[in-house]
Amino acid sequence: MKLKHLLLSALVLLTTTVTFAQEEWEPQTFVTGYVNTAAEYTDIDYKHYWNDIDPAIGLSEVALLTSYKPLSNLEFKGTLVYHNNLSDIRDLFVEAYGRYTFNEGFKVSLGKYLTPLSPVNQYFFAPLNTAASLPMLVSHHYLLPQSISGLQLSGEFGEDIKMGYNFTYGSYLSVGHSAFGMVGIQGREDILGLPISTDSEDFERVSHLGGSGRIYANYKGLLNLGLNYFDGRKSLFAISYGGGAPEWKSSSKNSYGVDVQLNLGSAKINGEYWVGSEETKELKSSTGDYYSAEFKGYYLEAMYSVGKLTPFVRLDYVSDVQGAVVLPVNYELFKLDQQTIWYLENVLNISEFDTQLTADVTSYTVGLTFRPIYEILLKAEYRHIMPSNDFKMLTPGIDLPQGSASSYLEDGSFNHYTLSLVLSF
Amino acid sequence: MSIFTLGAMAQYKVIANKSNAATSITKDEVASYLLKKKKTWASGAAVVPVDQRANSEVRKAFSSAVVGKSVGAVKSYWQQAVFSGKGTPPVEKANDQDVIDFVKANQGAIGYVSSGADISGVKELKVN
Repeated sequence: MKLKHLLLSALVLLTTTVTFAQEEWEPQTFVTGYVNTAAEYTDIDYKHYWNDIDPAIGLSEVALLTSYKPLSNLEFKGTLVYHNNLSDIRDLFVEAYGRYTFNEGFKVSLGKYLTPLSPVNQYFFAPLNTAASLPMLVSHHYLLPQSISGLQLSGEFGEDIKMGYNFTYGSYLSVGHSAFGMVGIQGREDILGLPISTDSEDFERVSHLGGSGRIYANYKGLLNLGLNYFDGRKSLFAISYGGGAPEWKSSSKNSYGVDVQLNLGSAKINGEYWVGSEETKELKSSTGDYYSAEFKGYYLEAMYSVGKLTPFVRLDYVSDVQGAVVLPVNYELFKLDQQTIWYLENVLNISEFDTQLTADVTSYTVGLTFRPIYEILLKAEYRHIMPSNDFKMLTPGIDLPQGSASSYLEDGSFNHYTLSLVLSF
Repeated sequence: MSIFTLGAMAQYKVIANKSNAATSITKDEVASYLLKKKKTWASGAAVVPVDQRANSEVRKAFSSAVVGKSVGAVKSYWQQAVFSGKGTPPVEKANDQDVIDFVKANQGAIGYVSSGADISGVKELKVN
């Protein structure tokens, strides 16, 4: 009986605090979008690379966002983003949801959302992202999935000092690396031209259950601090030697992040730091240890607006798929992910590997945006991308299910130039 | 006070529903209400902002003088808010009379009209 009263009281509380802000509500429709055309060039130099990367000019992204509010407390939103390397129709719908606002402190949404646990996901869209390229935390989206479908509870309290929360639970598409941009460098800075990593989209496009949580505090729009958490299931691609077929192994994955945004009017600083791990009880070494791996990434960006010009700098780092192996027999070096290295070392007891060579990537960016009018945005950007090693890759001495490697990167670092024109409406 | 500021101030009036107890308001408060940064009046009532079309002269003058941004910059602000799920812009009305009618019909409404508009039926808030 007490529970019944409690539920009834909660229902009354929720329904009586509904905000009817407009007595004579008129349905509101808002439509916005953009077309992003880019010219890109990279001097990445893979010997024997199966496709040379030519300079490219063309349509990089198109986005359309529609919002419809038939009632003051009910909103429908849909966002479609096409990009040059779109490989699956499911990726076209980055957001599609309905949200009911009981009050500012309690909103319930159903549908699919850009994962709300990371502010950098807000910069997914070209007009909002100062740089022409996405932060690697977003484009790799291994530490945080790009979108989650399901149920979302969110709310915000206060005015000068705002406290907010956002909890989302549902299915997410487990995609490790998704190519972006005209030359397909973005999102694959550490795997391009190398054997396909086990977490790449070509190997796994499977939905798993997962949830995210975010709490944040905002002081007068000047300073924002956030804490984020993601936890989900994942499948690992377990390699098999000796003629056996590769198998999927169920695993768990979680990550933690902290973010800060400082907005001083003309000057803005954004930063995030993430750590994550995955583990499975289905892969056991000869000594009885279970497989686990850890990941890390961060991002720091500073910009300063001078009229219609905004120069900016950005530092990116990710270590999500990593590891390198030396095969002493042929003195060959090729890159593998952590799981494969662990498997070779601990299950197959092949110990002659040098696993100190990791494949983390650091990227330095400088750029300039020019927005003479709202509808036109021009971005020029230079990135210097530095994988932690010189991946010199020859045909491996063993047959990996990922395929044999036949290319190698002469010099570990390379440059990436982008000129981007964004037309907004 | 500069001649430019005087000129800009003379081009618009901030209006509210007659039931609203406020008689004056600061520039920062008006900007916060129109940008939906503040959502309640001092009385606790919900604020219902109403904007004018982006190409109207009164909006250009208002945005520059009160919000401190060009109309294009305000549109960029709302584009970011919409894309990131933080909110949608205020309802836009085609002319002064439509704004006045909206403010009459909504107790928590706040809007702005040209300085020469007939605002009978609503009240003007003095901007400090």
